[in-house]
Amino acid sequence: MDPDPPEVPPRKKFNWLRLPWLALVFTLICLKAKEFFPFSHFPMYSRFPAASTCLYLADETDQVLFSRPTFDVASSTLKKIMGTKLKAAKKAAGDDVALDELPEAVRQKAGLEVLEWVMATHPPKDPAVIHGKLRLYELEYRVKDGKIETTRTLIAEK
Amino acid sequence: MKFLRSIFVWDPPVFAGWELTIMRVLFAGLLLNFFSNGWWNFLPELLTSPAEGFRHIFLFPPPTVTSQPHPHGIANWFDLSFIRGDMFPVLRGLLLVSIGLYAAGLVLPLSLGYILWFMVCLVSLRLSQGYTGHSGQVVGLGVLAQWLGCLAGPLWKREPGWWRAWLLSRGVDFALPARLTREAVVAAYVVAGVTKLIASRGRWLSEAPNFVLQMQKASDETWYSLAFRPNGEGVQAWLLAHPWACMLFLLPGLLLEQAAFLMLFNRRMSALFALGLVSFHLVLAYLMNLSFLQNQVALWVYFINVPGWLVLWLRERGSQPERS
Repeated sequence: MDPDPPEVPPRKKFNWLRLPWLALVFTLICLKAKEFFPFSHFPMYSRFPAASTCLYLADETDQVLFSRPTFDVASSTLKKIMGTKLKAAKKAAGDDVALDELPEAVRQKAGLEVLEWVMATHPPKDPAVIHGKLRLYELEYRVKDGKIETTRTLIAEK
Repeated sequence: MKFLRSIFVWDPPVFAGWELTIMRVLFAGLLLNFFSNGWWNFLPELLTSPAEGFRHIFLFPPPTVTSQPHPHGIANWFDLSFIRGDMFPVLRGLLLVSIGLYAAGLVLPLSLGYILWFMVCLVSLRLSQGYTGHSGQVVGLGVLAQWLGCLAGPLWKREPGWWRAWLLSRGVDFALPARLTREAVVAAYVVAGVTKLIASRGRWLSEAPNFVLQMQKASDETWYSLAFRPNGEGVQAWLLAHPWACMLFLLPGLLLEQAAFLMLFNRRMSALFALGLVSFHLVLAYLMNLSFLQNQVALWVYFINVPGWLVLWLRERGSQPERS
């Protein structure tokens, strides 16, 4: 007599409702809407251009003002605000002008607007730490001969 | 081989009631963190100076912004500045009550609905200043998914008295909201992976040698913001000397994001993949001070699920016959 066949667990019936439909819908909405909280297309680090920049604040003596403890704002936020101002200037100047080809005066005006924004929305906790005018500096990085070359530019002061 | 086969089986996890309760309570903690800007930072203060600790954790201040010069999301249609006005203490009180009710599993459609509404108004106002941040979207998508799950579950069943059950969350199964939260988190990672290819027009990996510039930028941004530098200097120097290695360094992250949907397959894949994504976040936090802490917590709660694995392990251990 044959031994008893081994017990085989019953195969689960396929249920199309168990498929991740919401994941699909959310994916499509995020890609289409781009930025509409809570939806986003999460563009962080989606490009690695040949140059990158960082903005920071200093006073008239070039003493660095660390932006979180002094103004409660991040350096990355300054860059995003500057980007928004430059895009507005680019739109006004005509769409065929590249962001990095905008005239110096336009960049300076955008920088001044960034400084005004900082003082209006994130005033310093202790104004005495700023000696003289508030300055906005830009550091630009490029790879040259296997090294990172950094260029510092004073964008605006107020 | 057997293990490999087991992780690719389509067998979405069915969580026990106690697992779902733990997930909900931990997610409530994450929500509190979202609004109070890191309540766990104030835990020591709660012991040394309870009144100050309580104030920091629960009585978080209104947003400092007063207008919406660059409207984001629903700010295109509504003026959201009301949220920072005289009503703020009342709105914040209602939020804290809602988070408490949510943790207790009570009136979920209403409590989650309020949390979602408050979160969308607050964040949309903050993002209407001309810059976009991406630290809160995963939590936001999770809340939206849970709310949809809480609405859809009882409506779908349409049992007698369903509307009462719907309103009071009596007998509402949290399995569907939890499943949809997992799907929302997966969608966020897949989107991030797809966007990298769309935005770079498929050149993301070939542009990867320039990643060293992003490391330098992140290091300087951390320095000029917080007066300390992340630990990426040695790795950055090595990647600068070996540009091809940037591709190898970044490729696992891209693959983890694009294949994140595999996390929905089964418990094992869920935990393995989520541990991979958490490791990816930890490496970026160490090298570039980019922690995405909210994402990490969501991965631990809904995908790695330590309590679930612990109980499974204990049960398996208990069911094994003792060796003589």
